[in-house]
Amino acid sequence: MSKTEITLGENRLFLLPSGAVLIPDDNILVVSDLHFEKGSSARTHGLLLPPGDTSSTLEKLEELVKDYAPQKMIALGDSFHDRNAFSRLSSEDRKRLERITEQTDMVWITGNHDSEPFHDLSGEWVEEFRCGNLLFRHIPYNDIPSGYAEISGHFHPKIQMRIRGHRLSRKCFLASKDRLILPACGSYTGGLDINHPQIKSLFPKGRMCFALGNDKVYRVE
Amino acid sequence: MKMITELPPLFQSWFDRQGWTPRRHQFATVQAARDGVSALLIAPTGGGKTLAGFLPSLIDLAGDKDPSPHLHTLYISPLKALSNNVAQSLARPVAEMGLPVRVEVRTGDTSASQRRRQQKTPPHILLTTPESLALLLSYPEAAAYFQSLKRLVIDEVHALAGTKRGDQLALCATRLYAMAPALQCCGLSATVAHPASMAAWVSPTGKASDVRTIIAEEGAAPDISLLMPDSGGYFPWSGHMGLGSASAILKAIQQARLTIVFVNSRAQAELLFQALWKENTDNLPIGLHHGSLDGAHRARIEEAMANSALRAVVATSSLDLGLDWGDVDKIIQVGAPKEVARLTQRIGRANHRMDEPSRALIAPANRWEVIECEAARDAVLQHDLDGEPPRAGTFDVLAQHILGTACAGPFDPKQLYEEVRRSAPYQNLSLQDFEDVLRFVEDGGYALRSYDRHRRLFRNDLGQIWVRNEKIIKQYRMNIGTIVASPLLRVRTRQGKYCGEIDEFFASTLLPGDTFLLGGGLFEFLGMQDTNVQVAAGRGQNPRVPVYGGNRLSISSNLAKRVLTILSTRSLWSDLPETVQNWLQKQERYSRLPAPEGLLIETFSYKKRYYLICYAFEGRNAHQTLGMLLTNRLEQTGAAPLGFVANDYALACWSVHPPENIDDLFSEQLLGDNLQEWLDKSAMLRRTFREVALISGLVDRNLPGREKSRRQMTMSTDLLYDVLLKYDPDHILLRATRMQAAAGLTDLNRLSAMLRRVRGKLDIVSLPRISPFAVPLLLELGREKIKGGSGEEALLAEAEALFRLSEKS
Repeated sequence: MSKTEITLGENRLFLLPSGAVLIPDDNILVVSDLHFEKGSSARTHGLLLPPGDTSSTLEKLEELVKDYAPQKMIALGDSFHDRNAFSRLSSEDRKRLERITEQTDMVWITGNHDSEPFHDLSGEWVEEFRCGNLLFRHIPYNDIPSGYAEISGHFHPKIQMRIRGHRLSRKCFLASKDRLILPACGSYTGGLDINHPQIKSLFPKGRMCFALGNDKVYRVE
Repeated sequence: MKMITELPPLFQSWFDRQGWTPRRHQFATVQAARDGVSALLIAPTGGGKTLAGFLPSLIDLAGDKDPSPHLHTLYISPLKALSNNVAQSLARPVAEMGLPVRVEVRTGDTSASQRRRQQKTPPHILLTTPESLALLLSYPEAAAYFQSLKRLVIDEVHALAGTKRGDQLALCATRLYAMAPALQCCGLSATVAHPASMAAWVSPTGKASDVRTIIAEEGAAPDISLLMPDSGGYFPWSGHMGLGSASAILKAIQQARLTIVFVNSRAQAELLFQALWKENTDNLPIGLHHGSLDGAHRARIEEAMANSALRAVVATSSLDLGLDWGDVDKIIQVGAPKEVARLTQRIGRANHRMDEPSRALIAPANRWEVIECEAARDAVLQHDLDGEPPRAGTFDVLAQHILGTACAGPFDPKQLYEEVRRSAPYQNLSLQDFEDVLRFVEDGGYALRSYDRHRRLFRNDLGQIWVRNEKIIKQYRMNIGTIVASPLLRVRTRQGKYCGEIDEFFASTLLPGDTFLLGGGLFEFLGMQDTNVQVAAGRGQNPRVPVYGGNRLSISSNLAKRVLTILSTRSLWSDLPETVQNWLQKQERYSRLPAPEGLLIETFSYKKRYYLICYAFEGRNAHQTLGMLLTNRLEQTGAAPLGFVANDYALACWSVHPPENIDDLFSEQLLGDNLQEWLDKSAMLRRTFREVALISGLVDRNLPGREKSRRQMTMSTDLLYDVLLKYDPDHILLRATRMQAAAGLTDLNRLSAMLRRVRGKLDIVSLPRISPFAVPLLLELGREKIKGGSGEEALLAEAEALFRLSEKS
């Protein structure tokens, strides 16, 4: 599988077609917005959505762990869709998740959907994580202290393009010199157009956009 | 069979006072009621069909001695407007004969207080729609309310049978028969190709043999001619709008008292309406009527028509059905009529007296359509009606019905299974399928074990099924219905000025900077602001015209064959206008004409895509299927396909790379590899799944207290589809989706027969540019995109290459 390299605050980063980021020099893998048990959360509203979103997201994580054997994995928040999501995991999914946390040091960053930590789950729960000059958060801040760079999620960015008259829409990474926003990794997560004012205002000096292809990340903007 | 020859004295003298003689089919419906059998009345427009349906009720109620309010007759029509119209026309005989009969309408527009009153004091005759009936049946009081019901009148049966609304109504009818054992049905239908299946459809048992079919005499043959653009107009090569015929249409309007100008789409209605007014120097009163206009506007137009205050109305199918709009004496169909049966019904709108010929003009919108219109005219005059018999009922509607039944009270699943099978659409429903649908309604019915709380239904010790709580019931009632329309979005300027509405689907195809026409103005798309479309005054060339979802029509394969015959028979050309003859000659010169045997295939590149056009003349469904097959092969052979579009005559596929070895493409292999996988991934299946998900209640249309944006929902059904396909490929909703998609495709046996027939007779032409015949095809609506395949990968790589290039410069 190919990877696309960028530099963020003098760190080397690989953008992966699964929507994850690898920081090779520290052997850290970063994923965002997993939204575990989003499907079953609708059951309280009487909607019986197909189960399997959690399994399918876990499968993706298992593959990443297998492919890159990261020392540390950082989940950038909204890992669980709501405060009861952890207790709704099927026993099998819970085991799979635990197996992942045994293979790598998990850092769970709290998000707006999972603002309270799930202490039954191994790993460290923090609001913000720091590694060198990299800041890991769920929601990006408007101002980044100088000398630092920020890696965040929350917005589920998606780009819409028309090429040779064909319109297509893809999840994407957005980056500037000191900021990187990851696409959402969860199976039931949608996207927000990258031209939405809330996203646009985070990149006053322009941005790079990397669209997810089937096995490759494409720099399209 | 014995037949009455006179109505009861009160009625007979009322007919006499009108100067009318009861028609034979009016006697026949009264006789059927007297014999206690259900009936299907097939009659052309203007035959006193509605009165025939109500006569037995009125006669029965005239002698009714029961003073307590009770429901006697339920009338169902597909249109709210039709119910209002019928209420008005029933008011006269009721008043003039002094009948003790209360007639009331109940639709989505009926106020809550009036509904409560109708519930407490039922009228004798209630006029309503399939959705309102489903709602009524979801209340626990329904059994008592409908117990006294004697007659069920279903209007416009031909427009309901074989649709999801029809499935819903048929299921509701089985409930009514169970609640009111004395109930008889009377179905009213226009002339159709399959009368026996219509009879089965209105039957209380689902069998045609339990229904008396009454066929009224045919009206006078219509007088149809083609209307060509006059010297003030122009005749385009392509397009379906017919704007070049505006001045000719206006002249035809001047020569009649009241004309309905029928068009095939709302966009066409808007454009033609403007084109007519541009030429309308005499200020003839001409109105506009289509489904995206607000109700008040439509009501004003309808009233103006009834009062003869208008000379013409430009209308879509919103005026198709049997409303009585006063003295319409001319019909103009602009653009090719796609179905013979539909054209026949439209023509019937002119002149509500069946013994005089209806006068109609067909105005082809392009050169190709001249041939199609010519073929359609012949078909109407020869009564060569098309249309398939109604298909089997769908599972998503059944799911909705099961939940609705549970909302009214506990039910026994075995009894419900027997009950639904008494409707024609579900007559062959297997117990297994029924149980799978029931399980879906109960707890989702997934193979993957899911989080088990919050089932929707539960069973008691007696095996009866109950709905879990009030919340589920409320949710059901808010989601009733089987019409999944693409919602309209408001268009506003940055300052908030309202400019009109466009279809959400059309909006989703716009990118910032695109321009489009709306209400005569040119706008530039800026972006979406919540659910508003934000625009600025636009400039520039090639604006787009909004398309609205819904009514895309497909002609029958009969008609397609007729067209091929005209094309390939030179001696028939002399009947065609000169411009059309020139066009055919041009096609012959630039490319080739299709021949009845063999298969013409053109390839060319156009706007940086490689096209493959195949003129099979098998009808749209077959071409759609062929499109799926061909793109599958193109993907496998590395051409990186991006999409295809089909009409009734031909199919166009386009790809990033030129297709190679075309002879091989069309070999038997075409039908082989991974077809189901390819179909499962297609945009068509995803679109179908969205509809199934909405109707079956997998997702909400409007959640109580929380309006979810439609855009989000579209996305989420795609995501749901992917997960369901991965973990539960045989889930009942996926089976429902495949079944429904299959109805829009054609069976592979027929295609493989075609492939065998043309083997060795492929007529492949490689062209330097687009051919005259291909132009209209490429402008056709309903393009199918190939998503997530090698085509899109190639485009992304191209976007990246372009970006690198721009960075260097």
